[in-house]
Amino acid sequence: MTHHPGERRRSALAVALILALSTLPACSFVDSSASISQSIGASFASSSASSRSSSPGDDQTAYKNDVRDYTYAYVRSTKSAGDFERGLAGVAEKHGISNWQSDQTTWVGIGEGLAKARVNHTELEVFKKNLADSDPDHMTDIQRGYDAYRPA
Amino acid sequence: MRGARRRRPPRIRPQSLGLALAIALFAADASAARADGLTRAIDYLTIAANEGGSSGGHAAIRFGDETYHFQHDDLGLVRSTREDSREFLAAYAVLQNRSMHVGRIAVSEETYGALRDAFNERFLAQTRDLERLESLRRDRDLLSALVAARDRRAEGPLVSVPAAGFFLADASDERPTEGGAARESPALARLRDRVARERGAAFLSERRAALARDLASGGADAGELPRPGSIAARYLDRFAGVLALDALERALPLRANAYRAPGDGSFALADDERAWIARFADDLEASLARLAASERPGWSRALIVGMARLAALRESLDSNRLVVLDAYPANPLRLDRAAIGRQRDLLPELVLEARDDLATARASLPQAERPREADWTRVETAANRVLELERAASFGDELRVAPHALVPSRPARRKAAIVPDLAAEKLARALAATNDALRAAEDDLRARAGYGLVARNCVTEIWRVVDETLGGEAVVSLGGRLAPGERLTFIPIVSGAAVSAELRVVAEEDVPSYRALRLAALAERDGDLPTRLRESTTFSSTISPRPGERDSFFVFFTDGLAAVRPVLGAANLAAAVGASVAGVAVAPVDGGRLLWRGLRGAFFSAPELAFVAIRKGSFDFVPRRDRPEPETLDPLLALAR
Repeated sequence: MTHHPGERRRSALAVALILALSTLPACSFVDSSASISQSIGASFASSSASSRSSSPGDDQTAYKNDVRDYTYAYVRSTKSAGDFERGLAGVAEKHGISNWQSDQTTWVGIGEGLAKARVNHTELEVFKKNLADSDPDHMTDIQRGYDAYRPA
Repeated sequence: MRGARRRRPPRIRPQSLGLALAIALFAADASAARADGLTRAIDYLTIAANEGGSSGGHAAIRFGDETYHFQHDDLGLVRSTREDSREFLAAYAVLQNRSMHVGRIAVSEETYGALRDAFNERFLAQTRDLERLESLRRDRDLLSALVAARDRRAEGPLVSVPAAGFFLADASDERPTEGGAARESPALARLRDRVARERGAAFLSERRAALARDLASGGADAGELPRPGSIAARYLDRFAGVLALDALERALPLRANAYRAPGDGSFALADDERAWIARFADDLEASLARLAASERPGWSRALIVGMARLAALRESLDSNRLVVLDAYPANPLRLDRAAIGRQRDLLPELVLEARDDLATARASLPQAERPREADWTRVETAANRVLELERAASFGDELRVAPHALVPSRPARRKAAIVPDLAAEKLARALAATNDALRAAEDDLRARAGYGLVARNCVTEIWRVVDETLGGEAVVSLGGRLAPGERLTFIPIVSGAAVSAELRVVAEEDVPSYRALRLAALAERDGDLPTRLRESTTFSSTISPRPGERDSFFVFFTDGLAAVRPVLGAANLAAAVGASVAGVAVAPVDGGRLLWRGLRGAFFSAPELAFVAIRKGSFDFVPRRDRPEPETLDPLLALAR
C-alpha cells in the first residue's frame, strides 16, 4: 500500500498533533491556590493593570452597570426575590459593599436593569414595590434609573 | 465557513514606527465600516502558550472595557470569566509574559449589544449555578451536623457565623472573653440608644427573642424547612442576627485582634479626612438603625460588619488616626516564610506601591460628593495591605494574599442551636432532599460545563455563545461563521487565524509579551547582539533577574531564538535533569520544590528540541514604574472606547 508524499506528511502532522495535544492542556487554568499562593504579586492583582488607580467615580459606574446587568439577567430568568437579593449581595461585595440596601447606586442600577429588560410601566410598579419593599426613597431611585437608562 | 473577501486590514504593531500610520489606516477602514452601519467593534484575542497556566494557548473576546474568557478550573469545569480589559492584559501579557494576537471585527450596534449581553448572561448564569452548588453544600454540612447532634443527643455543633469574630470569640480561642473587658463600646452604645429611640426600648430584645425562636425550628415556616439551597443561609441569617443584636444590646467592644490601629505618623488624619469620616460614621449609624429591623437575606452579616466599622470609625475620630478592621478573609491564600524568603527583594517595592495606593484612596475621600461604603473599603483594603506587607518585610512573617476589594468577614465558630422544635424526621428528610439536589446540581453543571480538550474548551465556548446568539445571522453580522470546534479551530492559534481569514476583521495587532517589549527597548539602548546574549540566560538576564515562582527550572530563554532552539533546548533539558537529581538530595530541606521544578523543566525542554518554545518565563511582580500601560501594549484597546 503506497501513500502520496503529501498524504504522508499530513498523517505525520496529525499524529504529531494528537501526541502534542494529549500532553498539552489548551486554555488557561483558573488561578488556583496551588499556583497563585507562591506569587507575591498576587497581593496586587486588582491594581496591577497600570500606573494609575481607577477613581471612585469609575468604581461607582462599574457597580451600577453590574447591578443593571444582574437585574436584567434576573428579570429574564425565573428566580425568586430571595435569590435575587442573595445574588445582589454577591455583586455588591465584589465592589466592596456589604450593605447594598443603603447604597443609592444599587437602586438606580436596578431601575436601569428593569429598563434594559423593557418591563412596561405596570410591571415596573410591581417590581418597584417588591424589590424596594415599598420604601419610597428606594422606589424613587429605581424610577430614576428606569427613566435615565439609554441602551449603549 | 463562509466569508466575503475583502482587502487585508491594517496591522497595528505597537512600538513600531508606523504606529501612527497604522492607526490612521485603521481609522480609514473604520470609517468605511461605519458607512455600512458597522459602528462598533469586537476583539478576538488569541494568547500564546506558556508553561503552567496553559501550554496550549488561550483565547478571549473583548467588548471594550470587558474581556470574557473561559478557563479550565480544578473541578474540571470550563469557567466563564469576566475581567476588566486592562487587568486582563496586565495579567496575561505582563505577569504571564505571553504575547497575543488581536483581530478586530466590525459589527453593528445591535450585534455588539446582543453578543455582549449573551456573554454576560452566560457569566452570570454560571456564577449563579456555582453559588447554588456552594449553598447546597453548606445546607448539607449544616443538616448533617444537626442530624448527628440529635442522634447522639449531644450539644449543638459548632457553626461558622459570618462576621461574628469582630465581637465574639471563636470556639478555639484561648482567650474567650468577649471584647476583652467589661467596658462598653461608645459607638455601639450610641447606636443602641438610637435604635431604642427610633423603634422602642424593647425592640432589640424582642427581635432577638423572635429570631431565637425561629432558630429553634431551623427557620421553618409552618413546620417545613425552606427548600434546599437556602436552608443554611436562612439559618445563619438568624444565628448571626441573634449574635449581632446581643452584641449591640451589650455594646460589646471590638475584639483586640479584629482591628488595626497603627501608631505610624503617616496614619494621622488630615482635617478633611476627619470631616469625611465623621459624615460617613453618622450616615452609617443611621443605616444600621434601619438594618436592625431588616428582613432581607444577608441583613445580619451586613449589620455586624457595619457595627464593627462604626466602632473603628469612631475610634479613628477619637484617636485622630486611621483605625481599620482586619479585613482579610478567614481563609486567605498565605505565602509561607520560605516563599517570602525567596521573594524578599520584591517587598520594599510592594510596600511602596501599597502606601501609594493608600495615599490615593485617602486623597479621594474628601472629593466625593457623599460618603459611600465602597470608598471606605478602598481605604480599608489599602491600609490592610500596607500593614500586612510591612509586617512581612520587617519580620519575614507569612503574608496573607487576597486580591481585589476586601470586605471584612471574620467569622467565628459558635455553638449552634440544635433546632429542638423541628421533628427529627423532618430534619432527616431535608438532608436527604438536599443530598439529592446537590447530586443533581453537580451532574447538571458537569454536563453543561465539563471541560473537554476538543469538544468544550476556551475556544469552543466563545464560538458556541456566538453561534447560539446569532445563529444563521452570523454570516451577515460578523462577515462569516466559525462553528464551535469545526476543523481544528478548537486550538486557540488556529481559531485566531480562522477569524483573521474568514470574518470581517478590520484591524489586526500583535501584542508583545512584557519580556519582548523590554528586549526591544534594551536592544535600542545597548545594541541588538549584546542585549540578546545577556538576556538569553536566566543567570544574566536583567529583565528577569530571578525565576518566577511558577516557572520550571531552565537556563536559556528560547522563545526569541528559533534557529538555535534545539541546541538551547538540549542544554535546558540537561540542566533540568541535573536540577532534578540535586532536588532529590535537597528535598528534605525544600520540601521537594527543586525536584518538582527540575522535572517540569525537563518536560517543557523537550518540545524545544523540536523547535517548539512553550516556556517563556513569567514575572511574580513588575514594579509600577516599569509596568507598561495596557494601551501601550495594545493600542486597539484605546481605540475600543
